[in-house]
Amino acid sequence: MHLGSAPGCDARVSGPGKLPEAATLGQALGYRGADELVDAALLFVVLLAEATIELADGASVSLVVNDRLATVAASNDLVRAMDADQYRLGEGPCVSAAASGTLVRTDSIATETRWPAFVAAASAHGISSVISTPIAVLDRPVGALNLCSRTAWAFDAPQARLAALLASHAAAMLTARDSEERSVAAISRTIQSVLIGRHSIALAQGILVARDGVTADEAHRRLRGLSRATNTGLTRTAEEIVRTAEPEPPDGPGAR
Amino acid sequence: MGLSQNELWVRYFGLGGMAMPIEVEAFLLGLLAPSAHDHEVLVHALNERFSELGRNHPVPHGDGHGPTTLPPWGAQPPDEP
Repeated sequence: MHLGSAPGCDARVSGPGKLPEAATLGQALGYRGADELVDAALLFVVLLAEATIELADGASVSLVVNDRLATVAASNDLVRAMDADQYRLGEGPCVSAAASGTLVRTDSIATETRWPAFVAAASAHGISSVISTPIAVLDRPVGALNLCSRTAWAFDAPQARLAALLASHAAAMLTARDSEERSVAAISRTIQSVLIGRHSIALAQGILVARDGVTADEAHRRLRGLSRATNTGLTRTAEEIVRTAEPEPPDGPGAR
Repeated sequence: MGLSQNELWVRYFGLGGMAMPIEVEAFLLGLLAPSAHDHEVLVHALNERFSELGRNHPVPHGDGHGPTTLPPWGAQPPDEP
């Protein structure tokens, strides 16, 4: 029988461990995030790219999602299939552009030698030229805007400039979404830690009220005095009181 | 001391304070007198911030330790209602 503090047992069984993950707090409050809006805007970008770039037969946006490239917006199935081939083969203009952060262009699939496996797959779809413009968020390449054409030499400097312009707009939307997600996550974390703090303090107050027969305010005053005397934060002081008041957790695996 | 009024309120709230942010703002401006309890919780929040900055507790508290020079929000720690 182990009588000391049980190793592996979470001493703070009284609440904090049961609180939801920070991000779920926002979700529970009905916060949906900008994802849907950004997805719609990216679809608008690819449709606009296909419509305005004369010989384009398809446009898509590829993004690194969970360390893998994925197509998040596509104007049609042709470009979607071209993207999927590249992800599967691990090569091609989109893969290169997303990895290097530089514009990658192939003017004639028939004479392309950099990606033999991709050339075979693209030829099977009747694709003759491809241009992939990198999308960067905070100076870090995160994906590419891809255009494909059944015509060779479809994309020259003017088309490349237009593609870069559209890619920069896609990047701006993604940057805004990223920073918003970060700030929402930070706010959720703060809310969570503040609630955990109040929870511990209220529990400790309750313990003192029951144990010493004092009012809640007097219990709070005593906690503050202890906090000052020990030069320990009030929250930590309260957690200690809760911890020492709790019965010894039972030994054994799964005891929490 | 690198703590905005909002951040002070968040800390005060985290320590169990119950007054709204606008009330805390009024305490700080001296427009509203906090209860002794609110006063002390605010002082505690400030002192914990000073501790983090490596300073001792420079804001005097009034928990039965005699009269003190008070922060801007009031001349006296008011009595509990």
